[in-house]
Order: sequence, then C-alpha cells, then structure tokens
Amino acid sequence: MSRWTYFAKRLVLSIPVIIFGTSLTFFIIYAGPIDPVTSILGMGATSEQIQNLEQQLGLNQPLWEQYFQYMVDMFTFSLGESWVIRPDVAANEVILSYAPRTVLMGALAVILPLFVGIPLGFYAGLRPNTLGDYTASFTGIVWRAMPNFWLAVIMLMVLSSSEYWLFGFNWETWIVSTNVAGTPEMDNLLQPLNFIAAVKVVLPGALVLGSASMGNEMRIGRTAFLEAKNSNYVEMARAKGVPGRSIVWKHIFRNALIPLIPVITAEAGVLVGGSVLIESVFGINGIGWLFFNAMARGDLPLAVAMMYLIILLIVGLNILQDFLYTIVDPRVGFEGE
Amino acid sequence: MTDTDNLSRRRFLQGTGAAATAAALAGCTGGGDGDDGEDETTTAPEDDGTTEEGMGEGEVDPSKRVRALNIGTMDTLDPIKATDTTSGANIQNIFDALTNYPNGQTNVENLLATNLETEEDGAVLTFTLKEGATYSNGDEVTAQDFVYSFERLAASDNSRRKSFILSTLAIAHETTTETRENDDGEEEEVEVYEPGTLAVEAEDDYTLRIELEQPFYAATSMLAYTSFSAVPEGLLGDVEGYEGEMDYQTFATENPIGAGPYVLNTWEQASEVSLDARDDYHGMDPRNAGINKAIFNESNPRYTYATVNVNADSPYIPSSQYDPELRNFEGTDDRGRRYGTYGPMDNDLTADYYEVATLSTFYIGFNVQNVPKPVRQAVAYTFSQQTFVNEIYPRPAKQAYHFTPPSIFPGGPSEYESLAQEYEYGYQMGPQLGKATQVMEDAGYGPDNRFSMSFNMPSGTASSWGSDLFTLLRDQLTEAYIDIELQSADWNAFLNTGRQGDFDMYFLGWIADYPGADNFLNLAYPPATNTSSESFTGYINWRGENATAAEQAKEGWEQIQSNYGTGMQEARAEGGQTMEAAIEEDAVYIPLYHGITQGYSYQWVDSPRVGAMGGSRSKSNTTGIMDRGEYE
Amino acid sequence: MSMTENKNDSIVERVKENPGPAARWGAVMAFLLLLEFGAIWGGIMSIPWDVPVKGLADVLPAAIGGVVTGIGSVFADVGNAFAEVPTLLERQWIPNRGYHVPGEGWQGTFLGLEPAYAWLIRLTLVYVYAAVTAYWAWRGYMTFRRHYRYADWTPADDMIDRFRSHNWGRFGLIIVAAFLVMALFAPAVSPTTESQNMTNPYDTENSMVKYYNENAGEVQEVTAGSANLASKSRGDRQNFGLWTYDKYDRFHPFGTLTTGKDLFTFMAFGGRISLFIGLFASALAGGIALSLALLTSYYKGLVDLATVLTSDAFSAMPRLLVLIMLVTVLQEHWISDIYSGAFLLAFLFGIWGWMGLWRAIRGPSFQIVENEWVTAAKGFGDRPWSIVKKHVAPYVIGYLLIYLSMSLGGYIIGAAGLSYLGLGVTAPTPELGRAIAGGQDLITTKSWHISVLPGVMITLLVLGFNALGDGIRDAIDPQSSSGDSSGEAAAAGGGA
Repeated sequence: MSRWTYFAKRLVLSIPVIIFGTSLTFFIIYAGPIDPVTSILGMGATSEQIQNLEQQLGLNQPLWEQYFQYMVDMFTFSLGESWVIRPDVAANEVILSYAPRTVLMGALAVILPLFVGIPLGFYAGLRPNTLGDYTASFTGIVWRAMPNFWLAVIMLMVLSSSEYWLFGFNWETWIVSTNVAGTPEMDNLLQPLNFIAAVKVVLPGALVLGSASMGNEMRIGRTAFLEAKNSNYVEMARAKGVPGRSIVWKHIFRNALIPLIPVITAEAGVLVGGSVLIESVFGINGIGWLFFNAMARGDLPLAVAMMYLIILLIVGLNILQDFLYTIVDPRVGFEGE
Repeated sequence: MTDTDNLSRRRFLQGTGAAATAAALAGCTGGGDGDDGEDETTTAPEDDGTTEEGMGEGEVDPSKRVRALNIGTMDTLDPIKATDTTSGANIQNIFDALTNYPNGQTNVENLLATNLETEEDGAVLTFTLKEGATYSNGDEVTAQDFVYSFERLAASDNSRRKSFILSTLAIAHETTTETRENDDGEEEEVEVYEPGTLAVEAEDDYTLRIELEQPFYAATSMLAYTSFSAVPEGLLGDVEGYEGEMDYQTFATENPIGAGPYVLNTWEQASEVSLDARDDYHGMDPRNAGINKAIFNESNPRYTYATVNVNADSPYIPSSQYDPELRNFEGTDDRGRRYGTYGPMDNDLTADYYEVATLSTFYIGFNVQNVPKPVRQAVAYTFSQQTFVNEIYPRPAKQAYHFTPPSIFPGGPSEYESLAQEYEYGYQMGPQLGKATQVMEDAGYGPDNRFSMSFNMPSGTASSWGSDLFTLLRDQLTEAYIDIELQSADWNAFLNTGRQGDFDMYFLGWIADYPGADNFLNLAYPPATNTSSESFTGYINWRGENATAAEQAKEGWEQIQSNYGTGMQEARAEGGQTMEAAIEEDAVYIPLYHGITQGYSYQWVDSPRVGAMGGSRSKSNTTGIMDRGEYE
Repeated sequence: MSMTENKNDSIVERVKENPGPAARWGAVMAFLLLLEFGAIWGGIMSIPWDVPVKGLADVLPAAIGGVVTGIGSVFADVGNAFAEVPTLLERQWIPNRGYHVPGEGWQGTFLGLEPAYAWLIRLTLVYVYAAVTAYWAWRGYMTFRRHYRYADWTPADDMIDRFRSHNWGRFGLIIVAAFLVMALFAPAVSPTTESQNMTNPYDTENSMVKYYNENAGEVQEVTAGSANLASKSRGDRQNFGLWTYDKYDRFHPFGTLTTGKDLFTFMAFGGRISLFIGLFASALAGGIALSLALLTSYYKGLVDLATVLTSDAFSAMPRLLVLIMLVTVLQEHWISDIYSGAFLLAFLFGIWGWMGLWRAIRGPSFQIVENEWVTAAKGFGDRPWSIVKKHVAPYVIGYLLIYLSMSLGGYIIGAAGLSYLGLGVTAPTPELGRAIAGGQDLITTKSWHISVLPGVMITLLVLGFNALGDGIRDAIDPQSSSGDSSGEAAAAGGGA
C-alpha cells in the first residue's frame, strides 16, 4: 500500500490509543480513592456546598455519564478550570503559561544528544577498538548510568562555583550574564540576546535531561553500526566491490538507524517525566513542576488536562516514528509483509 | 456586654477565622523552604540592613532598584484575600492603611491617619485622614474609601480576613441567622454578617468614625494590618451596592490600586514580581526606584542566586550553609536586637547582620478527634525542646514552653519563665521516653496494640530540618508504641489538609497579627478549632471525650473576651494563663520554639532594621541602595 | 547433540549411575550454605512475601482468606526463626563495635582491634565466603558438564566461554555480584545494626551504645538514638565524613547522614530495596515484552496491531508521571504499605516498563522471523511454539537483554527519583534517593558525602547491570563477536 494510505490508517488507529490513555487517566483520578469535592472544600464543607459543587463539576451524575462527559470535553478541548494552583483560570491557560520553558528545555534536550550521541556512536562503531572508541563508549555509558536528578544536583554545584571547578571559567558571565538556576525569562525571545539568555538558563537542565538519551543513542548507534557492518548484505556489498563510503552511507547507516528510531521518539516520555525532577532541582517553574504540584495539591482538572495533552503529544510522535520506520526499513509496517 | 453578644462574637470567630490562621502562618513556616523566621528578612532585603553603622562610605542612589527574592509563589495582591506573607510583603508596599508598624516594629504610627480621638474607653475611634494622599490612579484617599474597604473586608466573598474586622477588632455590626448542616448532619443556626451594617462612618471626606462592639486595647495595631488597607471606593463589585469599575482578576493580579509607595509593574506568576516606586506618594519618598523580586521555590537555586552569584541585595543563607560561628556581634540596639556582621560567606562578602526575636511560636498540634490524649502526652514527654533547639533546628531559636511568646505572655515575661519551670513534660531536659511509654501502657497500648498516625508538615520544612525532626520523633516514639509517618506537602496542599481536618499530628507556627496574647490563644479556643464548622483558626478539633481540658480553655477565652478594654490587663492575663494551663494539660499543642529572625543585607544596602512584627509588615520605601561595585 | 539414545534419562538417574562427583560437590556446597544459612535466609525473608499471601487472602472469601493469611504468617514465623540461626560471619563473632579507653586500648572489638579493621575483616570474610561459594557453584556446573551431560558440546558452552573472555561483561558481573552480596548480607557488612541505625535506635535493650566518658572517667551507656544526635553531618560546622569515628567511638566507613545515622548501613539496606525494585520490575516487564514479541512476530496481523495499540496507549503516558499520579492516588491504600511502598513501585515499574522493551525487540524479531530457517521450519510443520522457542527466542533474548539491562538501571533510578521527590518508599526504610535529597543542600560543604556517595552507588549499580547485559549479549549473539575478533576488545571499551 502507498505510504499515504498507511499514514492515514495510522492516524485512524491512533484514536483508540488516545481513548485508552485518556480513559485510564480518568479512572485513576476520578474513580480512584481521591474525592475531588472534599479535596476542594474540605471536610468542613456543608452538604449544601458539596451538592452545589458536585452539580457544578457534574459529579452527581452516574460514573459512566461523567466519563462520557469527560471524554467529550477532552476531545473538544474544553479542558476545564484549575481548582487549586490558579483557581478559576482555564487549565489550558495555566498550562500555556508554564509550557514555554519546558518546551525550550525539552527541545534542547532532544537536539543536543542527537548531534552529540549519534555521531559519537557511529564514530566509535566505525573505528572499533581504538582509544577514541573506548573513550567515547566509556564516557557515554557512565554518563547514562548516572541518575538525572543526581547529575543535576552535582551540575548545579559545579556551575554555581564554576570558577573553582572549571579552572577559572565563569559560567554565570559566559556570553550573557544569567543566573545558574531559576526560571528563565521567556519574553521577547525573538531578540537574539534574550533567546541566548533563556537558552543558557535551561541549558544545564537540558544537558542533564538529554544525558540518558545521549548515552543510549551513542551506545545503540555503535551497536547497530557494528551489527550492520558485520551483516551479510554488507559483506555481500563489499565482496561486490562497492566503495567503502557508499557502504557506510547506503547500507550501514540506513540499517543502523532502525533501532535508533524508537530511542529518539521514546524520548518524549522520558523528557516529560524527567522534567519533573530536573525542574525541581534547577528551580525552573515549568510543566513538570506544574504536574507534580497539581497532583500533590489535588488540582485534578489541571493534572488530567496535562496528561491528556501529553498523551496527544506522544501519540503524535509515535505516528511519526512508524512513518519513519516505513521510510527507513520498508519491511516493518504495521501489517507486516 | 450581654451573653448574646458573647455568643455572636463566638459564632463569628468560628465563622470567619480560618483564613487568618493560614495567613499568619504562611510566613512563619516559610512557605517554600522551612528556614522559618529567617526567610522573611533575608528574602526581603528592603527590610534589613543598618541605619548608621558602617554606612559612611556610600551614598544612596534613589534611581537604583532593590533586588529581592520572593519565597514561594504568591496567590493574590488583593489585601483582603491574601493570606501569606509572600503576598503580604508586596501588598504592604502597594497599599496603605490608617496606621502602620514602622519597619515592622510593634509600636504603631499613623499612616493615612493624622489624628485619632477615642470615646467610651476606646470603643469609638475617630480618625482624621491626611489630606492630599493619592492612590496610584491619581484619586485622593477619602474616608468613604475606608467605609468601602472595610465593607469589602467584612462582606466580600473574596475576604479571608473577616474575623479580623468582625470579631478580633469587632466593629459593631448586625447579623442575620442562617441555617446550615454541620459535620454531624445536624442542623445548626449560624449568625453571619448582615451586609451594610458595619458601624464605620465617613463624617466628611477626611473624618472616619469607627464604633467597636466593646473597647479593644489593640485597635490601632489591628488597623495597621494590610487587610484594612484603603482601596478606592467602588473599584470592585464584590460587595452589595457597587457595580465595580474593574474586573476582579485584573485588580488581584495585574493592576492593584492602593495608596502605598509602590505600584505593580509586572507579576509573572512563576518568575518575577516587579514594583515601581511612585513619585506622588503621600509619605516619605521611596529611596529607590523600585523592587524586583525573583520568585524561587527551592532553597538551593535561591542560595545560588542570592549568595553565590550575588544577584540580590541581601544574601540568602539556607540552613545547610548557616554557620553560627560566622556571626560577629557588635552590640545590641535599643530594641534588644543584636547586630553585627555575618561572613565571610562563599562569595567572600560580609553582610550586615542582626537578630530580632519575633512574636512567634512554632508548635506541634494534634487533631484531637484523631489522636487520643495518652498519645499526645507521650509525644509531649518524648519531645525535648532542648534537644530540638540544640541538635535539630539549624538556626538561632528560643525553646518554647508556652503557646504565647514571652514578651506578650499573660502576666509578662517573668510569669512565662516561672510557669515554664513547672512545664509538665520536661523543662530543659532530654526526652523522657520512660514517662511516654508509661502513659501509653497505662492507656492499654503495648507491643501488639500500637498507635499509628501521620505527621504532617509543609515540604519546605521537611526538606530543611523537618525530616530530621521526624526521624528523631519516629525513632523515639517507636519505643512508646507509636508509629508515625511523614506526610509532607506543598504549603497550600498542607494547609488544605488541615482545613479539611485531615491532620493527625502536624507542625505549624503562628506569628502575631497584633501584639497581644489573645491573638495566639485564639488558636486554642475550642469552638474556633472545629474544622467542620464554617470557619476556624486552629486545626485541632478540641472537643469530645479526648479533650478533658477543653472546657477550661473555653472559660479562659471567655474571660479574655469580656475584658478587652484598655486597663483590663490583669483579668485578661488570668484568662490567658487558664488557657495556657489547659493547653498543657491536654497536650493539644506542644510548643517547640519561638522564632528569632535573622536579618542579612549586603554592605551597599542602607535600610532600618526590622522589628518583631517581621519583614512582611514593613514597607520598602526606606531602603536605599548604594554603589554595588562589581555586583551592579 | 548427536547422542540421543539415553536422552530421556532424567538427571536423577544419571546421578544415581555415578554418584561420586555429585556427592563430593554436594557435600561441600551444603557445608558452605549451612555456614551462612541464617544470613541467606534473612536476605530472602526481607522480600515482602506477604504480598502474594495478602493478595490471595483479599481475593478469597473471608474464611479461607483468613486461613491463608494464618498459614502465611506461620511460614513467616518459621522463616524468621531460620533467619535467626547464627551464622559464621555474623557480627557478633567479629564485632567492630567497641570503645576506646585511654591506656587500655579498644574494648569489645574483635581481638581488640580498631573498629575500622575489625569491620574490614568482617567485610572481607563475607566477600571471601561469597567468592568461594560462587566458585563452588561454578565447579558444580563443571561437574555436571563433565560427568552428567550427554552432549560433549552445546551452544551454551560457547556462550559461557565467550562470556568468560569478555572483560567488560565480567566487570559487570563482578559489580552486580558485589552488590548482590552486599544486599543479601546487609546485616553482616554494615558497621552497625538495622535496629540501631534505622528502626529502633532508642530501644533500651538492643540499641545501647557503650562508650568511655572521659569527663566521668568511666564507661557509660547511651541509646544509639542519642549517640546519633551527636554524630550528625551538618556541613562545615560539624561533619563525620569518610572513614571517621564519632564521639562514641563508632566507626563510619562512609560517614554519617544529616540525622547522625551511619551512611554505609543506610546504603547497604537501601541497596536491598533498589535491587528488589529493579529485579522485580525487570522480570515483570521482560516477561511481558518477550511473550508479546514472540506472539506478534509469529502471528503478525491483528495480534500485532492489537499489541501495537496497547503498547502505544501505555507508552503515551510517561512512566514517571503515571507513577507520580498512582503513588499519590494510592497513598492511603494498603498496597502502599507493602515493603514500605517498594512493592507498589516495582509492580508499577514493571507494568509500565514492557512497551519500550517490546518496541525495541519487535523490529529485530520481525527481521528474524523473515529469515529462511524460520520459513523452513514452518515448512517442516513444526508447531508455532517450538518454532519461536527454538528459532526466534534465542535471538530476541539477546536484544531483550541489552534493553533489559538498560531499563533495570532505569527502574532503580526512577525509584530513587521518586523518593527524592518524597514519594514511593517511605521512611524508615532506606532509599538512596532520600539520602540524595537530604544531603543536597550540603553538597558544597564538607558533608558532600551524603548526596554524592548514594549517587555514585546508583551509578555503579546501573553501570554494572549494563555491562553484564552487554557481556551476556555478546555471549548469546554469536553474530556480533564471531565475525571479527574485535568483540572482546570492543566490549571492554563500552560493550558491543
């Protein structure tokens, strides 16, 4: 079938995925042991207040009706209002006001490892057993074995007294003067200096957040590269006298990319999850911080809305991933051969 | 005062006090961090510093902006809605009230008022207002504005300080009866404020007459509180009879209009608050051009920002970095504040430093409905103030043996000392595990019949020293057949849990709203601790079979209440001591320590020291910034 | 693999035919195990066995459920009794706890040695014992290979040989083994006891600390809790760092925590929890992923589609967020109490862990199924299960193991991260993340060890599992190492 038909089918198939994830969120939060009404009003609420609020929130209806209503709301993007964090403000507005920082950090955390990890991995795979290979591989493997939040704590310490640790290099005044930790200013990012400043503030977080992927990408890049190099078709090509450069690019690179695809796309989940910890260490008030607090403070509509948006994001990336699969390796499609 | 009056007063307390608690507490327990008293001043550099000493070398540059820190996020800039000191410190700068605590000291000065005449032993107050004082929108402050502002405080749904005006200050008013169902499903009649009946009257544009239900010795102190700030008449439509000229949300978050020395420039919920100085302020012209406050929730980034990188005008010293050895005292000022320097710090700078005892008490409270008396007593025996202050609490603090701080203790500081020495659960000694175990065994507990409860505290406290306190108590209480589990939550979530009556054992603090013992003891007035009532000040639910001394506390409070006038100090003291004894008997609150606030500021800051009421009660217009040198 | 005649004889019969080598080996092994029976059993008993029992009891009707829990508790009691059996390397035989009296030297320690050395001796002995036992287990395999296996050669031999010459993999094995020993023998390798350090420091019977009071000039006793109070690491003001003694002559190889408790003991017992979470979650996730991969690669079509959708749905919800959500929601539920919350974490990590694994091995297993030999096997009419088992699984497992080794580290890190945020494993049960959180404000001070060492330990543990996974993978998948002799050398650098 053509790629476009496949793509269309893939889109259709993402609907049950979204429904499943969203439903699960609903049942965990609303059908779970948390009582949203008491978590807003407290035990001291009068029954009248409780009834009013239940009515207002639609909680007095049977569960399946609530569920139906909830699903309709989600799919029509009426995400409700925050209860606790910013009472009576629309959830999407709250999320939007926190999102830019995390988006910036996340984007950096995806891009940096790609441009560092994969080339390093291929480099190592191309020259196995050299000192360069060992160094690159070992650094990568240690780097990814370190817990992100711990790395962040250490990094915060190193950068705060960078002159002491980094031989007089002053991180704070480097290029533009910024704070080591804290929330970046997200206004007027179109001005280059503001953009650089914002990037610099989230850079340590992005580095840490991307560290795991960097290690993964390097390791898998190397493995896949070696593997593809040793496989039959490459030897065949070599025997046929295909020039080395062509082998690397046409045969090895393409096949080595296959196992890398899930690593790159699966990063989204890692990034969103990891940002909870990283943002708490670096004091960046972003999405992760917001989600953790929404949960901790019982701001259920906000938490649910965030989960829903994250599901959408990740499902979108998954579609992209399968699409990439079909491009790189036509054998893998959802219908098999 | 008749019985019915008494009743209605109680009702109101019950009905309106809840938010007040939260508010005053917010500062104490350090919303985001738990470094407590210290927070306030370090993070509000405009509050600290020195007046004369060592300031010869520079000149204040009024075009400079103050760089400060906000601890934790703040909720609102509406004076009647704000309940935490983070908001309070900013509101203090944007709004003015009739009176003011200059630099957070306990004495009160006129601010928008120029003169006060009292009648009937102080039950009727007539203020003359300053002429020509303007709001940031250019309107003049008039007596009508106060009538409107006070009505908002008493009647608006946004008000979380109703108890201040209706029961603490108790401006005369009328009530109506509403029937509602209480926690136990019983119908209950509750009296609520009848809107528009407040006995506040504008005799002319500049004369304001306030009639109280009974004389109140601390009326002018109360009126200095930010919730009594002037707001232009009719600005908001949240009370009857006013359409409102401004959208509420705009007022509370974007454009608060007050008569204070500053006007809000920007407020980014999670990153920065910026205030601009007004050049048409009625009082002393601000010595700076404005204030930029960076918002931090976590203490490490805050430390990095303010101390390591010197991005603020005062260092922030988290407990982990604080070293008492670095203090270098030069003397004690006329208000008993020890002052000197602190340093050198990591950044090689030495800061000006002082310590001031605040009117505050930090305590462990129990929800009486969930925790039986023997367990409370066992915890009291186990907890040792001495160990806590010496080994756990990382800052200077004073061991507490009563709920009311020494300087305002009923009967005076000497009474505090002599009664403290008879403290049932151990005065200045280590933990008494034997007694604790004994109490529990007598009540039928044992290895196979253990008691479990949670220990709630704000996550800020937990991450600084709270988890150490928890570990200590857990380890000790396990020998007394008590298992405790730490439950820490973000400040607001924590308070929500309390408001819902879901605490077992919890850590909290209280700093004074006005310098009076009754302000503290209100938290121990049993009916005002009922979390299932409409409103309350304490979270302990002091009633029922677990509460043998509750009646005594109630009587004590009533004695205080009926002797509120000036000159009735002794009767109030007697009532206060009765309450203190009841608290001790039932072990509903275990006092831990009284706060000592540490003030730091870099050498280029010139501002007066803050008094015992704390930094959030002082305005920043007295803060001047000199040459910052390389840290500009 | 040509000897097929007696293939059906069971191993028991083969041993009966030639009992000598087996008996010799068995006797020594039994002796070795007996020496440390109590300790090993104690390690086993620390796993939350009440989970299946309680789960069962909840499902069954009350009467039967009660019986089940009853029987369970009997077993628990018996198990605990076994765990009490004295062992060779118990701390009481080689005590490291004592006090120093001026002029008289150390009292109460092993041979009057300084506590540090006494502790070192015990630690060394534990590892020597573990090494000997491991060696003997290996001997057992060799005995089996020589005397009781019909085939002279199996592919497994090659795998083992490949692994034996795989330095990086051996490094991983050693690290993992070292941590396993530390976890299993946590009570013996710790300088102090669990009771004194974590659970009951104020117990006046078991947690008394004797020390020489110089002012009084005599030996006095104090509870461990009070001694801990005076031994806090609190930054530059007061610090008990690596290899120090506190004021009560207690030895702290890794220093003390902010609570004055011993960090090494905390980490040894914390390692138990981390390993439990990592292994349990891996087993669960790996099992699900492998079954699904085999199923989908063979049947493809609808089965694959359904699995793709399920996997997408699960992985559309980031694991850490779901865990934060579920742990918060289930805070009051009894399941959060099992093993101080570690069970819930391990379970959730497992349930939310298979998608990545499955996704990662799905591509390779598809590729493998498309190979000629599988088609050939299908042509021969082999049953599906035996086809995937024989022809697909061995190759898929290779891939699974690398990803599993990666994700196992992820579970350990994830659990630590959650406890860093104050969720998950609750106090007093130690969790490494909590130590990191507790010490992070002190990281720029002399008390840096509180945050740094647990982080290093997690890193090492994760590193070890990764290396082990690499080694196994190289051993199992001949393709990667047969082609060029570089396999081993490359692996030494970072794993192939």
